Amino acid sequence: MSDDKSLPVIKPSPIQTSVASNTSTAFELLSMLPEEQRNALIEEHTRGMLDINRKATEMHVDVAALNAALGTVSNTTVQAAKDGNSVTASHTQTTSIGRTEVIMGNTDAARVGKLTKSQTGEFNWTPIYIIIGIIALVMIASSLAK
Amino acid sequence: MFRAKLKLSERTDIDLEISLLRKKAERGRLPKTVVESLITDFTSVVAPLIESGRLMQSQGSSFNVTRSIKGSGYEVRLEFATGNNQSFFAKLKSLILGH
Repeated sequence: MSDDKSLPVIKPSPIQTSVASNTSTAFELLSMLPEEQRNALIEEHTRGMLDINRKATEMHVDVAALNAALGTVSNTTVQAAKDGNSVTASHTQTTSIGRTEVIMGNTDAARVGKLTKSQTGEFNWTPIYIIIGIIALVMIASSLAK
Repeated sequence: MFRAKLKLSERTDIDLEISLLRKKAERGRLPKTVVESLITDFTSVVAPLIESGRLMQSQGSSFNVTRSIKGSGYEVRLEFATGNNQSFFAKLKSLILGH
C-alpha cells in the first residue's frame, strides 16, 4: 500500500507565472523574482502586449484606408489620362503611420513631384501678404497726397 | 474661329454649362451642326470629369485636369479643378460670382 501523504502536493496556481519570451535570460530572471513582483511584471507585459495589438489594429485600418484612397487616385488618374486629358492628381493624408503625400499624372507638375500648398492642405499666406501690401501702399499714397 | 475657356469643378451644373456654351457658340455664329458636335464633345469630356472629381473630392484628394476640345471652327479649353485645391483668388472669385 502506497503512502499518498508522503508525496509532494502541487497546488494549481491561479496566476500565470511565466511569460513567453525569446530569451532564456529574461525567463530565468523572472523565476528568481518574488511572486508579487513577478505578477506585476506579467501584468505590465500583458498590458504592453494589448497596447501593441491595439496600435497594430489601428495601423492596419489606416493602411487599408490609405491603400483604398491611393487606389482610387491611381485609377482615376489613369482613366483621365487615357481619355486624353492633362491630369494632375494628388492626395495628402496624415495617419498613425505618418504623413503621406502623393502626386501623379501626365503633366510637368506631376513629373516634378512637388505639391503646392493648396494640394497639401496648408494655408497659403501669400495672397494675404499681397493684400496687406496693397493696403499699406494705398495708405502711404493717401498720406503723402495730404 | 470660336474660342472659349471654361473653368469647371465637381459642383458644376453640366446642363447649365451646356446651355451657356450653346448660347456662346450660337453667338459666335457657328453653324448649327457644328454647335451640336461641340456640345456632344463637351458632354462626353465633362461628364466623366465631374464624376471623377466628386469621387476624388469625397476622399479629400485633389484633381486638376486641362483639356482642349477642338473641331472644325471651334476650340474650347477646359480647366477642371476640385473645389478644395483651388487657389485663394479662384475661391474668392467663385464666392463673388457664385459658381
